[in-house]
Amino acid sequence: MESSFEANLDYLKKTLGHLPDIVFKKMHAGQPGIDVAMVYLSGIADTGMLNEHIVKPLIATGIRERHPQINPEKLKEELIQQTAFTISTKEAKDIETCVIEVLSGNTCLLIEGNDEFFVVSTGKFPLRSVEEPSTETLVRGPREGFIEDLESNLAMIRRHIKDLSFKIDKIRIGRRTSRKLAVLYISDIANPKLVQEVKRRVESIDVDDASDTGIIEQWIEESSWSPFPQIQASERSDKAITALMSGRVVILLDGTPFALIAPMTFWMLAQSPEDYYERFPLGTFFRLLRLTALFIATFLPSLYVALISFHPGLIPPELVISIVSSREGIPFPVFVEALIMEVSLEILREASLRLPKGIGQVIGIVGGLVIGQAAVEAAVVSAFLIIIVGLTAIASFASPQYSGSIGIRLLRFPIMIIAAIYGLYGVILAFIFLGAHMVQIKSFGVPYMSPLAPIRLRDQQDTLVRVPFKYLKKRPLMLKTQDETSANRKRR
Amino acid sequence: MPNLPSSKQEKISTIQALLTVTSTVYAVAIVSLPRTIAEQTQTPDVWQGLLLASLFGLGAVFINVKLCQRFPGKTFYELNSVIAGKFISLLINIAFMVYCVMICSVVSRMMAEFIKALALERTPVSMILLPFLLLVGYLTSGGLQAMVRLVELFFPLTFIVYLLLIILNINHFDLDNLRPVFHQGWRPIFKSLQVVPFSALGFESMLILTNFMVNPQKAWKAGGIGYSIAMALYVLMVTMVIGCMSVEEVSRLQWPVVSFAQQIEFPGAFLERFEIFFIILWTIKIFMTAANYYFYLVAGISQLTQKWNGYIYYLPLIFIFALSMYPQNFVVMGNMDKVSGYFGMIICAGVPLVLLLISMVFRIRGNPDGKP
Repeated sequence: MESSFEANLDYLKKTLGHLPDIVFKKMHAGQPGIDVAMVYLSGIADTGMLNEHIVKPLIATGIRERHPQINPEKLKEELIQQTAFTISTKEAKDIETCVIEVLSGNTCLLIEGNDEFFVVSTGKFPLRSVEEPSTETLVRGPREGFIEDLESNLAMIRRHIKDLSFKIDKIRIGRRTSRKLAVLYISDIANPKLVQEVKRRVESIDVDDASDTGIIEQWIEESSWSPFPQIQASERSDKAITALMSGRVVILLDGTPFALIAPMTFWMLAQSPEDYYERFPLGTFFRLLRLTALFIATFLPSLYVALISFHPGLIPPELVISIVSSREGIPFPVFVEALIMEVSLEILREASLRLPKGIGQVIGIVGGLVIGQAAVEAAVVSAFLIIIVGLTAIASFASPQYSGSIGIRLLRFPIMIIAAIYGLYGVILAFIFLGAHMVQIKSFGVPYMSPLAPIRLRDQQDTLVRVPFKYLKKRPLMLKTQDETSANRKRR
Repeated sequence: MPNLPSSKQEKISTIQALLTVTSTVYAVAIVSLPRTIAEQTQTPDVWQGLLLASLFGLGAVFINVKLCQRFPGKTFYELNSVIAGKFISLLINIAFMVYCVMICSVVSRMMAEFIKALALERTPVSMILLPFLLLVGYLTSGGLQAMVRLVELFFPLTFIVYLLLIILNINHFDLDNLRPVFHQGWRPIFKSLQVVPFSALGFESMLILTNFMVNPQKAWKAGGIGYSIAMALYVLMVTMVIGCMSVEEVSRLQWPVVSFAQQIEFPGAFLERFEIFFIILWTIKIFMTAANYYFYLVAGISQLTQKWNGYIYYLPLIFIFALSMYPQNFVVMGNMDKVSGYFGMIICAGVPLVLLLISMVFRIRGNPDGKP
């Protein structure tokens, strides 16, 4: 028995000994003295906590018990009983886990004559405080956003779900960083096949590091070549909870405030939690508005190019006259003109994003107002095009999903090019292509365009429109949930 | 099933089959049909012939469904070898595939001519066809599921445009244009039956789709309703066009429905020219028809070669491209249209009828569980 204690300690010394802040402390507990070794990194472990909750009780053991003889079994029990009140202590399976625990700031305890390892959570890292999420702000609704710490994020969700079937499965990810990743689901709502598939895919990831769920997302999604996000990313805890309740699976990763929600459908690009917090006509109206905005953001510049350069006859003559007169003296063809404006808009957007908030606004004013005005006056671009480009830019911000709107920003350019070649026919082809593409992609087995294609009549109550809660009693059919009813159950 | 691995496993629902039949039928001839019928009849008796053709088409749907239901789990390509033997079934299959190629080519060429005349005067037809056919190949690479989902996705859209087209024209409607009825007896109606077949085709979808359905016993319902919807839209459109524009005017126009769309006057800025929506509707509709026939073709090829791979999605496009570029003018195109229409009648209604009769007389049936 003794040999395994020493051997383990030697192994730890060998593997961790080169670290500058590693501490190996040996102490005697009880009267005859059972050796207890503590291994931790002084840089990231909270030594005050260690002192207070581990060292003190251990020293006190012998004195309080007044038993000269103390065996390792008793000590183990003592350790778990006495310290578990205050901080979490758990047994580790093997020494490899111990090494990782020590590297993540926890303290490993080895007891002489006992083969087990004990890990005390002593890791203490600087945490950001819980703030309102900066990417998905709402007027009405909870202001709680995830932070970079996994445990705090789990706490935020757990605080609101007091359900016995709420399951959290933790695994470690990253060959070198070994980050904690949690898969969350409600075991009697979510489809077990979905949960299994999510876990299978997450476990199959083999990377050195995944510093954001964006990397996880790209490893586990079905179609990597698609410009559309197939897994929803969100920093909102209420969004994650709603998703869990509808039978979806949430993935949280240590080190990032973005949770992943799977499966996702296209229509979720136009949905926001606010649709539920406001009364139903508003929720419906906003959804249709956002879909219109998505359409405008994708097709408006290319429609402009197509109609002006190929078919001015298809738009009302008065409008043609005003557009043509505003284009007078402009040296470029419509396509080049539109391309210049769209590219400069993207540059402007990218530039103002990277700068501190105060300067970013200045860039916006200088770029948007001053250059825009000057460009029109200098007859480089037409005033009408400024309207088109401005409208497109505003429309692309209307989607509550950032990753969806950047996909569409990207799509705009190829569609403009095909519109410059084929005119309206090109825009129609692009439209058909997008349709043909989106019906082919899936998110964890759920078709991306469902519940419209394939059509699920029941799910129409909460897709394009949002019916009053009185009628919204069923969970989405497309998720094939175990428990179908979500509200107003019939009493027996 | 060793073949069609990507499509066999995924079954389609009744509503998907229904909408696919609708989209296969109701498409191509819609721009020119009022003219071709009016040319033949020279009287306002345009809708009766179409109605007769629809009844005939419904009968063909019934035959096709009954034939497929005798052989669960088998497509038309597979079941006819059980009835007719290997050699004859090979001939039938090749004929059916040639027919699919012909329809696909005619349809694509008509689309290209239409787009060229209305929107892209200076673009060569081949360059209009090329991206269209590539897109058809791209959709087919997603298998049957992608195709039926796209139909589901676009159907409401095209249906709304179609309804708007009818509703906004209602103030032009004059019942006098449709009178007198039957004043020359049945002769003009039978005359119109010479041109109607091509528009009534589409019932052959059920030959392929029936046994892809989750509930093949509902195939008659899906096929019958789907086909009826398509034909009802046809009859309504033709009647409205004649009713709004008179027989003389219609028979002089190449694409009467375009003029029908152009005459809509809509107060308000952008909607003033309704033909823009019609062009969108029609292109999408034709795309759907072409993609459906192309899928039937690809299903046949994979059946004959026992393979399902990337070449099959795109390689047959070469034939279609070549054949659709073959007609030099509208006369040749019209002839090709007619030939494929009659050919389709034989292959998709005549042959299944014979096969059904043979299988009934000799009591040939497939295994009920669908195993070969």
